[in-house]
Amino acid sequence: MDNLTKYNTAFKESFEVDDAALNASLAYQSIATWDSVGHMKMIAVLEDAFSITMDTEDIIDFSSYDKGKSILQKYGVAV
Amino acid sequence: MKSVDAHWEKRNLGVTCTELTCEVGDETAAVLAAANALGNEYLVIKVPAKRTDLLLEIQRLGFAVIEVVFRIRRDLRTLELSSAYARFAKDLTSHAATAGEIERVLDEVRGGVFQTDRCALDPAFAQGLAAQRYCNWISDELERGAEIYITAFKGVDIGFSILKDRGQGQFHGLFGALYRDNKYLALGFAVGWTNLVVAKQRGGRTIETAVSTNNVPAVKMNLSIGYEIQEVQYVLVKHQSQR
Repeated sequence: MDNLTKYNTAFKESFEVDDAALNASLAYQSIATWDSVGHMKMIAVLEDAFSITMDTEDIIDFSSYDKGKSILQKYGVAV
Repeated sequence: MKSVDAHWEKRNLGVTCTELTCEVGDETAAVLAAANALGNEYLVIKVPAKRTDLLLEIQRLGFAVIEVVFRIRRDLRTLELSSAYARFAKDLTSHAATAGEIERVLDEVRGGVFQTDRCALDPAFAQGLAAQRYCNWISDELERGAEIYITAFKGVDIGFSILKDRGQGQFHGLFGALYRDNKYLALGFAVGWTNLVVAKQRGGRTIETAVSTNNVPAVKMNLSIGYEIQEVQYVLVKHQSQR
């Protein structure tokens, strides 16, 4: 599975959305399931998928689908 | 069944109010007679889960369900966070609010930090009145011994919570919130966590609070930090002219 597929799968599993929702407008609290609990669930799924541990500041800054891609680059994950 | 003249709502919301709280074992006929006899402008009836007969009959009297409330409790003997949250714990601190910090809390409330309570969501009242109701409630609770605690992440204040010692190791988390317009929205658990930590430090054995189905994120957050549901209540309201 390539990185983009892993990334998208994390969002779909965590927030119960389909592929159509995975775009630049997907952001924290833009959908009901991306609340603070959903956020932590998504972070845990991503960490597991990419075998990384994210810093707290990065978890807080992970505010959107697009922003997350740039944050993962810090951990050597190109999406 | 208990009927209370909620006279404080005249100051808060500008209406006379009666709150009727039903018990699981109440006689249906008695509850309906009491509900029919209520004469104030704003009527609130709380019905325990399982009493769907009451729920349906009371709605026939013109009451409408406005929320379902979960009364939740957490045992404080063990305080552990899941691994996802635990990494934040070392950077979370809390302290009792100073007078200036209480003013900030009240400003946050006036500014609309609470938007999901039954009054804020009721078109008859709307946000401004609901916010003022919270401010009055906070002032009353502080006079009755509750305390406001400020939660900080890496030294930055991110929100507040209000805690009350009921004695004999029982604490009540009244409510709390993250401050508006900050970047720490993902730390919703932190203010709830502060209440757990402070209550335990003060000798608490259990803590209770209540959350509404109109605020699903708060329901999820509280369950994620270990609260368990104890009781579920339907809340119905009716607006009428004073009889």
